[in-house]
Amino acid sequence: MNTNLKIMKFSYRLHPIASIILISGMVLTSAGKFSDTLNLRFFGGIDSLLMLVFVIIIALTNLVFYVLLIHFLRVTLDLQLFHMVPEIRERTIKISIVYFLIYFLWFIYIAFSLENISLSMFFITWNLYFLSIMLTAIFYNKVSVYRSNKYIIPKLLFYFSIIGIIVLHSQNLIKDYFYLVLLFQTGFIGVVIYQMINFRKNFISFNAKDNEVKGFGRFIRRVEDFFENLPDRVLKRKIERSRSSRRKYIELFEITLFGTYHWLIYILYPYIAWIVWGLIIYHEDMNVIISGIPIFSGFYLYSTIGNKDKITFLYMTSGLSRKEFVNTILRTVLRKYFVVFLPLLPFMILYTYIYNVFYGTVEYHVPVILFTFILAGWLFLTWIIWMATLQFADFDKLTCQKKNKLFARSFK
Amino acid sequence: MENSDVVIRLEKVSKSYGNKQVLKDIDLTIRKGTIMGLVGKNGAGKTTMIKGLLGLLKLVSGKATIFGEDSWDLPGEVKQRIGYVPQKTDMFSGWMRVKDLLDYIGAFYKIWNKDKISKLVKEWSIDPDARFRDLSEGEKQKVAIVAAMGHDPELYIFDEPVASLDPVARRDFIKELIDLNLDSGSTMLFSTHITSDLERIAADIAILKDNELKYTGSLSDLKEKYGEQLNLEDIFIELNK
Repeated sequence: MNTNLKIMKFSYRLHPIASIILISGMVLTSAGKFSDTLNLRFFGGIDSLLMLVFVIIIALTNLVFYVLLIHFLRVTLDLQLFHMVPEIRERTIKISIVYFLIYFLWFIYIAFSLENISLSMFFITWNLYFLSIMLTAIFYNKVSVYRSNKYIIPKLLFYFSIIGIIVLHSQNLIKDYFYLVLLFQTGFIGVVIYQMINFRKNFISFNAKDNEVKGFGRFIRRVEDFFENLPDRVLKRKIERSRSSRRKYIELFEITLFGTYHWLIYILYPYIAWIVWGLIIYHEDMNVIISGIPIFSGFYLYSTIGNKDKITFLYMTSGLSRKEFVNTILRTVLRKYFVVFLPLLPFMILYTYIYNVFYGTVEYHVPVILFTFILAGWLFLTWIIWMATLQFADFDKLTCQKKNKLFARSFK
Repeated sequence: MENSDVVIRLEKVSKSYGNKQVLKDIDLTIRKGTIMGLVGKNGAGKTTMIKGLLGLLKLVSGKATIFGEDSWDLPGEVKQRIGYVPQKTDMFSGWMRVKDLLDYIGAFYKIWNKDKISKLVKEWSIDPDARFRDLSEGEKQKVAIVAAMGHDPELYIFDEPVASLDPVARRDFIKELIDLNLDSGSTMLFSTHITSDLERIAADIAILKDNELKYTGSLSDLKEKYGEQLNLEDIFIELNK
């Protein structure tokens, strides 16, 4: 395989889940903009309440893209393994430019489809500002120019001038604002382009021998270490808790089958609940997505409890008879469902309340009944899959050998 | 009548996948304290036999027991007396650090010998802070072996445990097996291609060929039969001609 393609494959596999989120976000929003029917189906119409979902998807896609980009650039810069690939730095830059252009063209398309020129410009500037911050962050500790004011002050000046003009225009204090915005926008883009050229030069010629980090870099390193070690801390706590727990095996099985999640994940719940609630409220327009969720869930579940290696390991390690074992697996999966899904319900009732304050059209029982209906569907599916795979188990007949190969992190 | 020192018993065990017969009328008895080496070509049915013995797959006919209990429905307490190392190491969660993985496995058992684990991890030069997915195949295999020893099992079942190990690690592993056998009288069944390892242990041998057990007995008897000048590898090749 061509070396560039291999590097691209690596970049995808570096964070496969994030890559899928990015691509899905781009496809969903593009589809929503491209076709009125799809727009209606996926977002309930751009003018509706679900405009917010649309904007959240754009913001999430934006964030994910830059996190992926910065990590890709940093890994190829720092990882010694890559130093053996001929012209790795040049290749990385070229691939990053291709990624950025694809992404940026999509972003411009989406931004201008908002049909509000001020908002579109604000979005584009914000996007470039994000790029600039990410480029700075890569070299913040390593190249002194990125700690200087050379980029920061002009960028901030241009950026806040643009925002200021837009705000003044909205207050009718400036009438002919377009050329002013264009002027500052050009200045801002000029700084970012200059930084990109400078970054390219530094990236290719930089000798990555200095691993010592100071100041802000040390803080970033600590944040990275915190997230890197988070699953280990959760694991230790869960192991300790399981030793004295009545549900010892359920808790231990859960770790192998589903991994560990920190309670911080619940910070995302209001957002997840919002999307689920939106889907349910607009259920007549969202049939494709609503019916897709249980199917996806079914595949995920099958790859979890149909995993020959993991099931064999758990069976042989547990002090449970065959019958107790397969029942405990089912209880583990059901418990996981309830722990994951039930906390969404209070948020959904809250959203119904808020929605009713402004629109007053949704009965409280509608989201609850639909949510319960979907959950019951999932439970039924779980039971069917469990019956088919484990109930009368010949573990050797299970076929999924690597859990979620699609999501597996690999350097191959 | 079940003899109390019989640990493993296979009686007329057969297994087939569709029309393909993999095991045919296998009879094997392993008594307490025995080290039994299972030898056979690739695809001879070694892994299938081990899986059938552990109740991981359904046998077509015959009966397999461990500690007198039917393999298909092993009680939990019996499983806790077994240390099993499968051929592949994909069963462990790769994101875990080695030390955490071993702690995690330890949580399943009533007894977990932490000192022994730490000693083996150190002696076998395994980095306890490394993530399992970042280890080489040989190192992963070492971790799997260490993990199977933590609960001081009475019966060890190894499915080609040394395939990925370097010669030094293999020697250490064999030494550990001998120590375990001498110290605690553990019973061991392990399949391997590396016949020289079996000679080092002077284990009993079971040779699988064409889905049948062609020989079961001591190594010395086998050599007597084929000639003292031949080593096990020569005999194995001779048998498979």
